[in-house]
Amino acid sequence: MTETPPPSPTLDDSSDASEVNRTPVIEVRQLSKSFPGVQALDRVDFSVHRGEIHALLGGNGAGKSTLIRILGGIETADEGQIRIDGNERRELSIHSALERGLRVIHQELVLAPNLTVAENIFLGAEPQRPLGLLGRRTLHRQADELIAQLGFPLSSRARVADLAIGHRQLVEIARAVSGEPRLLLLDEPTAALDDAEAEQLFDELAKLKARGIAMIYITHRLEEVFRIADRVTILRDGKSVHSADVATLTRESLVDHLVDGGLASQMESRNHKTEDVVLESAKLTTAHVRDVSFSLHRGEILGVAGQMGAGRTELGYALCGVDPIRGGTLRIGDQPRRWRCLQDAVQAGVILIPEDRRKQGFFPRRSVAFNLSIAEIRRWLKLCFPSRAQRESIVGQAITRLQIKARPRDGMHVLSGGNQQKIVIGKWLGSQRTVFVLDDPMRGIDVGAKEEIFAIIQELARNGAGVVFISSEIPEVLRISDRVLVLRHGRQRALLPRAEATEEKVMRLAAGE
Amino acid sequence: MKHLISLGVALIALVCLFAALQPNFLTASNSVNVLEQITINSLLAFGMTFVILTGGIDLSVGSVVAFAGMTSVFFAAETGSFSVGVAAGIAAALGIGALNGGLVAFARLPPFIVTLGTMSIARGLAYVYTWENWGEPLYIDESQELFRSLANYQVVFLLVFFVTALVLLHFTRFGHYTYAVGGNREAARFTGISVRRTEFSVYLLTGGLAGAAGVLNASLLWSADPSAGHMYELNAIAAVVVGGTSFTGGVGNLVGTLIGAVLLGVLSNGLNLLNVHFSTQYMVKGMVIILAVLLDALRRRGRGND
Repeated sequence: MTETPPPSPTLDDSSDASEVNRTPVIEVRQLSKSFPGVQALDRVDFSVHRGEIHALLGGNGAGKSTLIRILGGIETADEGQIRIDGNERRELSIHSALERGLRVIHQELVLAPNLTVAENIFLGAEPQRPLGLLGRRTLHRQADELIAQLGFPLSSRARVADLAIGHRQLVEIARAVSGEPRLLLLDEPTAALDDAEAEQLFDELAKLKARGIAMIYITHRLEEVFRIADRVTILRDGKSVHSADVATLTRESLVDHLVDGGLASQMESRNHKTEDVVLESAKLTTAHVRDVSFSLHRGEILGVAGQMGAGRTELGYALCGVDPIRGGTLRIGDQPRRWRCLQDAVQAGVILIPEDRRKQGFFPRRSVAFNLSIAEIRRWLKLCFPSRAQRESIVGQAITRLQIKARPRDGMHVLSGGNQQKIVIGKWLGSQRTVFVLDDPMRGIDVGAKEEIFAIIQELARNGAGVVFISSEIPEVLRISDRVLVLRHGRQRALLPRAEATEEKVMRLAAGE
Repeated sequence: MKHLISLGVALIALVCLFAALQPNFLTASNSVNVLEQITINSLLAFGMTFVILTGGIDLSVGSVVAFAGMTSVFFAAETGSFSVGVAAGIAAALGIGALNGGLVAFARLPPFIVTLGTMSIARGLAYVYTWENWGEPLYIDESQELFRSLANYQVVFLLVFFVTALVLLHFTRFGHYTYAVGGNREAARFTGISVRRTEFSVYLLTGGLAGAAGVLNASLLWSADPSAGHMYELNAIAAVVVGGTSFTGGVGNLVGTLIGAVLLGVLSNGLNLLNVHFSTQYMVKGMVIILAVLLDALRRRGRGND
């Protein structure tokens, strides 16, 4: 499948310059890894050369994370080879991966929030003075030099906890670069960034590329592949199904490779919007949002767009009782409501699907059945008489309705992000709910599963709920919403009907133009 | 489940070992003996299981045993009524439990610190009853026959409390909420579960069970001693941990805790019968605790998902 020519075994110690350049920095051949019940990687092949950005694009549970974990030395492959500079290595330990110049930038940032930028950059590799004392001044000077060299807008003395998430990402990259890496592995680095920050990141990556650093760039955003990658390898169900130069591809051909059978991107016509108002927000104000006014109809999908920090999540928090309301009114149906806590909102049928799936969404060490049935516990557990049949039917219905690829007894940790998200939504489907507020539900989910989640959200609306769909991706908002609310600095900039909401217009409003 | 099986196997192996070494070990009377010896620790461990499942800890239970014991004996003597005494003892314990729960759940203080504080407070309160006679125990006199005979039904109490706790954990919403809160606090909140109420209830329950243990302890000795219950909290934690409940919360169960308590009980009973010096006993017990957790950790790592 891959177009990489298999290097001949005699190539290893060649001193010929062109030969050296042709030897990939890293080459993965026939790599396989299985977990109980899952073939996570199935004979994966790909290779990355010096100064190349190689995108790894893959579907739900396609094996991207497993691959990163193996290359980073966290997991060991069952079979196959990893060649670094032509030298075969069966397995990597974290230490030897570092020694070979591999640096992984994980999806969830691993920084010490209470330390300064400089301390984080050199964590574990601090310049030492005699007696094992830390050379603070040297530390900051070296950090300043590195930051200046990279041109990052960072101050070496700032505490990481005080930085915006995009800047933390830059700290992470600076740290990786400080070790003179030869290969950077970036696992969805833009997942938490807004557009401007992402653009900046791409510029920085281009600089690193010019220095000859090879990069493996994992993403689920097709646009990014075209924006920065030289080559792309597509993973599906643990197999590498296609490798190609990005220049030879179109968006459509990529999507076709990604989703088996070419899942069409057209949506059925929607508009289940009715005249009944299920939620009305009038000049709603909390500590983080001000004067937000809109009414949400039964069957309507209201999109919320805005840059990072515009108060998207906080609007969800205001509607669902996480942040206390300081001004304005909130009506559910025709009842004015002032939530004391989240629980009040849940009881009134106002459901928040939180942004951080892993931290806020589910119970990772418990079963699928537990996760799907806990919100409906009042229906299957009265006093101390649980009804197993009732519980099983609630769980079973959610699994079939949302096509969750898991059995009730499975642990949540073996599931892909898409299936986890389905469960976080699915636990609310056992009863009729009035309002769903979904906060960036597509985050970290691949193209195939996204389609399914889109369909689920439309079904929620069709079944008579009002839906508030918050997203960091404007195209997502435009695709599914009946109206679009644009936020900036915690204030409502516009409330656009669907016909008027173009990507450009929403982007301009969000940026404050 | 696998943990329970290996725990059961370890228990049977231990019983076989002692039975082979000491003919008096596997007799009916000694078996009842073991159960009686573990009753108080089991009651504490049942409560502790709930607390640890939520990701918390309760260090105050040992002191509460003393406080509840002193309170019950004092009020039983003052009023001449056994039931008033028991009720007062349990109420005192619930008071400490409520204090723990309130500070942890509503004031959001770390449970370790809170219960470290109430451990000392409850101990002090136990000594209040000896204001005049400097730490002397309070005796249950002959007129309190009912109080004195309570301890004869220890094994019954053990079973009743076990079944009740089991029902509470597996057959009530509170039990499921306990798992949910410990499994992921934030997710529990976003599911509409009252995290605070659950946490508060868990500490209240543990306090109540420690109160019951305190009353039983007094009945057993026909007296209440303000220094009673020393290190009991740690023995209870040991039983819970050996029973496979995870310290990070959300994973574990009461059957494991009961087997853990029986295992530690059998161990100390068997070593006693073999006349093993108590210095060795302490060390063996410590090693068993570490071994149990170590084996569990190794097994889990071997499975490849952590």
